[in-house]
Order: sequence, then structure tokens, then C-alpha cells
Amino acid sequence: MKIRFWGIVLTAIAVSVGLITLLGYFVNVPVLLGLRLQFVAWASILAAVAVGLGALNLLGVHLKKISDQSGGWLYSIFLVLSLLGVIGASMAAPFLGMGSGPANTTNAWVFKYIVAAVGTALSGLLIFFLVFAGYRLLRRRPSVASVTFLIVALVSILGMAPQLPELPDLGLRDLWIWISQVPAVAGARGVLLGIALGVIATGLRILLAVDRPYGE
Amino acid sequence: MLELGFVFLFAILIGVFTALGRRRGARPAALRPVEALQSLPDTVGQAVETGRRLHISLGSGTIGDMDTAAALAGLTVLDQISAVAAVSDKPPVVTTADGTAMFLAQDTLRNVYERQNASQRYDPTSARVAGLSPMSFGAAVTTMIKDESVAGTVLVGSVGPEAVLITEAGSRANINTVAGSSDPSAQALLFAAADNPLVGEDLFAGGAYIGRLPAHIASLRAQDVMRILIGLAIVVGVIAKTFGFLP
Repeated sequence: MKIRFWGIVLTAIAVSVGLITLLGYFVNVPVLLGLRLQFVAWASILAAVAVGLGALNLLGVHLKKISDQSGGWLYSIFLVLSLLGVIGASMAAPFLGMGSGPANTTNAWVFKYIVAAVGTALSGLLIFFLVFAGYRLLRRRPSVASVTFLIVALVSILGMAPQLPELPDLGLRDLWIWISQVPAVAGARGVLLGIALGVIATGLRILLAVDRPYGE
Repeated sequence: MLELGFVFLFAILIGVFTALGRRRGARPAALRPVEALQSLPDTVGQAVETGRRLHISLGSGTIGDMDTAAALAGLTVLDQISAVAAVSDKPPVVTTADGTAMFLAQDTLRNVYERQNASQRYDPTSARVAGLSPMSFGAAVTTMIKDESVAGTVLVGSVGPEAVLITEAGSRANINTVAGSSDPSAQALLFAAADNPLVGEDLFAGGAYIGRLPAHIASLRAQDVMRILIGLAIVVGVIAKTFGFLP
């Protein structure tokens, strides 16, 4: 395998920065602490720049879709117009006396009446998708786990629903409380434990330069 | 507590090295079956044979915070899968909601094409930011699956409830969806909604299962050992506390 000089340099920089940042958390040495804070500050600046470049990428992809007239290009026109409209309105806001910065009146209006409203509508749809998904789950993968999953989901929905005084108390609310406080918490902690171990192992592979997501 | 964390990290490190040392010259490792990861070769093969695109998503998490490791696990899967899927008429498409993850995905794809001496086929727009917020990301991927003739979706990263929008789009398009998230509540949703859900730490096992990478197999084994040890420590702690041996 061909080993490139710049690959070695990049690996050395990435591993050094990673190790110094990690040591800055564990060892109380002022130099390491200062370096850690500096590296984190640089990372924050780079992440902010990446958000802007991500928006440019989004714009580029949809402009290409419009020029190629590929599937869904009409929606891309709406996206491009919306993106440019919001940026334009936000830039014009200080000159129209609508405040400045990210919290200006036009931005707040767009977020409150468009972004939040559409987001809430989409969230409302999720419950219907989940009901269909539960139905398909039984058809696709009938197993002990999937049946248990659906029974617990049903008990939880019924347990959370308001209790009508005309109906007899079947103890579903108590069962739901027990499920949510005992097995659900235990299961969630088990899952979190596994994920935490995976996170640590992934981090160590990068610190040891076994994984190099920043290039060959 | 910091010292305890340091010891914990060190123990994992030793575990990885020990497992790596033992693997040298040994027979190929037998890994426990993970249905979701075992279904990936069929999904990739179908995409190549039908000349359609494979969609790989790194989720809506951002690089630089708690979601970083999940996105990096997604990049490992991307590297392994795209090496096969790149020979298709249509290259794989990668979606994310984070600019930094987009650059890493572009770099991964570029490296894959360079390794195959097919740099001219690399298209930077194959890795893209679908939307900058979780819900816009989910909604954008939903339409993309339909518009770009996607043959299968592999979602490995941090994703919230919007994952259901993506799996539903996959279900409507009648394609296989392999999905896992580092968010436990999203995992519960994906268990019901995805064709092949990745549960718990299976999210991080892609490199070991797909590429059979020795370091990934070793770290997977180290994770398994650590999980048993931590489980035992918790049980011993509970017993000790119950009988008054601990304050």
C-alpha cells in the first residue's frame, strides 16, 4: 500500500490534538487545559463555518436539480426561493427597523409561523406512521420481541389515556407506571451502556489512528 | 469520578490490544448474528444489479458533540459499503444534516473512488446536506428516496423521531431499510418502523461485520467483555448495597 506523506502528517496532527484534548480533561496541568480550550474554540469556529458551507451545498444540490430538471425539481425551486428569501429578509431587517442579529423580528416570525408550524405538523404525522409500522411489524417479523413490543406499546397508550369513570379499573395505569419505571428504565440503561462502550471504542480507534475519517 | 473514567478508558484500551494480539494468526472471528448487518450485502447487491442508488445516511446529529461517534460509525459503514456500491451505474448518495459530516462523507467517497482508480466518477454532490434541522432533514430524505430511485437505505448515526419519516418513505418505495440510532428513544421507534433495526451497540459494529476489520473485531470483543464486567459490577453493587456492605 502506498503511504502518502500528507496522510502521515494529518494522522499525526489529528492524534496529537485528540490526545492533548483528552489529557486536558484528566490531568490538571494549566498548559494542557489552555490547549484544550483553544482546540475546542477552534473546533467551534470550524463547525460554524461548516454550517454555512452545508447551506451552500444544499443550495448547490437543488440548483443542479433545477438545471437538470430531475425528479422533484419543482420542490427545489421552492427551497431555493425560501432559502434566498429568508437570507434576504434577515439581511434587510436591520435597515427596516426590525432588529439585528439572529433574533431579529423577521427571523422570529419565520421560525414561529413557518418552521415551528410545519415541524409540529410533521411530528403529528409520526403517530400515524408508527401505528402502520406496528401493524407491519407483526406481519414482517412475528417474534416474541415484536409481540412483547406491541403489547407494551398498547398497555402504555391505554395506561396514559384518561380513565373514564364509567369503565372498570383494569389496573392498566398501574401496570404502565411499573413498566415505565422498572423494565423500561433498566432496558434504556442497558442500551445506553452499550452505546457508551461503542462511543469509547470508536474514540479510541481514532486516537490510535486505526480509523482515519479525515483522509487516507 | 474523572480518575474512574480514566481507568475505564484505559481498561478498554488494554482490552482492545489484548484482543488484537490474540487475533493474529488465528482463525477468522465468529461474530454473533446481527440480522440487520447480514442483510446489507443483499441490499447493496440489489442496488448494483438494478442500477439504482444506495442511500446511506449519517443521521441528523452533528460532528463535535455527543453525536460524533455515531456519525463516525456511519462513516465506517459508508466506506465499506460504497467500495462495493460504487461500481453501480449510479453512485451511492449520502445524506446528513451537518456540514462537517458532509465534508467527511465527501472525503470518504473520494477515497473510495481513488482506491478503485475511478476518481473521474466521484461526484461531490453525492454527499449532501439534506436539511439543516432534524425535521427538515427527515422531510428532505423522504422525497429524495422517491425522486432519486433509491434501492435501499442504510441509516447509521444519531437521529431522532424524524427517522420514522425516512423508514416510512422506504416502506412506500418497497425498499430495504437498515437503521440504527444512538438515541434510545429513536431506537424504540426504529425497532417498529425499520425493516432491519440496529439495536444498542450494534450501531457501532458495522466495521467488524461488513469489512471484517481486525481492529473493529477486537474493539467489538473488548466492548462485549467490558459490558459483562460492568453488568457484574452493577449486580455485585446492588447486592452489597442491599445487605448494607456499602454506605
